[in-house]
Amino acid sequence: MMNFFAAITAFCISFGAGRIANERLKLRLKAITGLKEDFSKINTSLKYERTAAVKLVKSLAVNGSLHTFWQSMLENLNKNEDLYDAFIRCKHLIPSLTDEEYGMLGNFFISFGSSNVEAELIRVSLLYNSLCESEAKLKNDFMNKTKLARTLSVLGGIAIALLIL
Amino acid sequence: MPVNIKQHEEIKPLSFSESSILKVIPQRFVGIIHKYLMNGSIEEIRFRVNRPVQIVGADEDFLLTQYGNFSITEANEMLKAICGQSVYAMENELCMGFVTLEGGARVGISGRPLVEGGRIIRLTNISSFNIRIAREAVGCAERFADFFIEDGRPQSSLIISPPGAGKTTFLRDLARCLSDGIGIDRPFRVSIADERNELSGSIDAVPTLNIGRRTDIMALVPKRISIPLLIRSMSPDVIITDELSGSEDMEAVEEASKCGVVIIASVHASGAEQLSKRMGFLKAYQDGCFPKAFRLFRHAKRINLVPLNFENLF
Repeated sequence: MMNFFAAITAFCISFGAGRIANERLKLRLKAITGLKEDFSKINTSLKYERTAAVKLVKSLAVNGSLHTFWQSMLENLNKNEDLYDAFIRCKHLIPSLTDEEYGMLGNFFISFGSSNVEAELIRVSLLYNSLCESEAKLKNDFMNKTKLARTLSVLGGIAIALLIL
Repeated sequence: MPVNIKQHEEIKPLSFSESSILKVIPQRFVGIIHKYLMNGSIEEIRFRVNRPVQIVGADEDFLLTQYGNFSITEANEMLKAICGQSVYAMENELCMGFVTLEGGARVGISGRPLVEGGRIIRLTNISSFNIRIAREAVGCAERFADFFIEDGRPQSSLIISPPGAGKTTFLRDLARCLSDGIGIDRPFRVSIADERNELSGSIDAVPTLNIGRRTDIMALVPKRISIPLLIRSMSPDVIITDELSGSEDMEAVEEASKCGVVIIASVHASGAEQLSKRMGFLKAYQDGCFPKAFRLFRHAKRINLVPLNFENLF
């Protein structure tokens, strides 16, 4: 009887681990897609209105895909911090990004706003393109990895359960 | 050596304009400049790369040598802060050589301009900042408002004074008086062509200074563009504008006069004699653009206005 319960528990743990890995992937995809959408809005605002950085953040705090992150950025900007410092304080609100992606965003915020509009548009486009690439890669991987994670977790769970039994 | 902060003067709370200055200057100067601002006697703060900060008061002028030199890094950070972390959004203003802070304080900027086709397309290597503290003197024009009215209608007028006498402060309050009907029989529709954004201190085209309830503004646009646009779109009784200078400004004024619009404008000059040497004004006078002219001056810290007679000069 004890073995039976242990086998069921092991199966559930393995299945749960698979689900967690799956959720992380989903979260990461959601964050990248959200960032991509928000930077597309930034690009449009810059191009047609030359909206100042604080106003951009304010508008994204209301209708941005990652509005929680932008809200926190705005709070920090209102405390007279610059964009980079504000980003460093708020980056934990965009979970599941890699160090490379955080670095890329940090580099963007450290230099954003110091040049003319053409240069800023190029900066936004470069970041946007990188996000598009990451998203495409993630979407490709997503299906495969989801299936793999699900299959491995179920099979792993069954294998452990059988071993216990 | 900097002079001591005057102890006898009344310590006043900072205005919105003064608080916005503290947000853009390097952190290490905030404490001392806060004290001077509270003291209320300074008119300008000048930052120059690799030199100490200069404080300019009404009667005194000194350097903050004990704080060391203002560095190039601080200049870059200050530029970004002045532009609200968005230099790209202030490109037009930078090309004109100034940025207006919230509350109307004007930051004059100097650096290396890139010129293309005879006009500045960008200002780089910013090396000097001159922060002019904006002070509202609500009520300073009340006793003079009826000088500008004849037969119940406003009259086109020119206000002449040397820099720093209070032309902008006076015009701002005059706009309020004409717009709200203070010191005169009835209110008028007032428009302000605010090229330097000093009269209204607008943020996102909304004035932050008291310019009256019936006043429309067009800020940060050359007068030759804003005056015709205001006439077309706002049909004002009177247009108020600051610091007429080049021939383009005078042409805009002449065009407005031909449309029957009243213009009240200020101009830098120590007196009518000096002004008479400037061709644009001679023509404007001959065309009847300014039937009235006044000399503005400060006496015992109060703004005063005396009528001028051009007849003998031109």
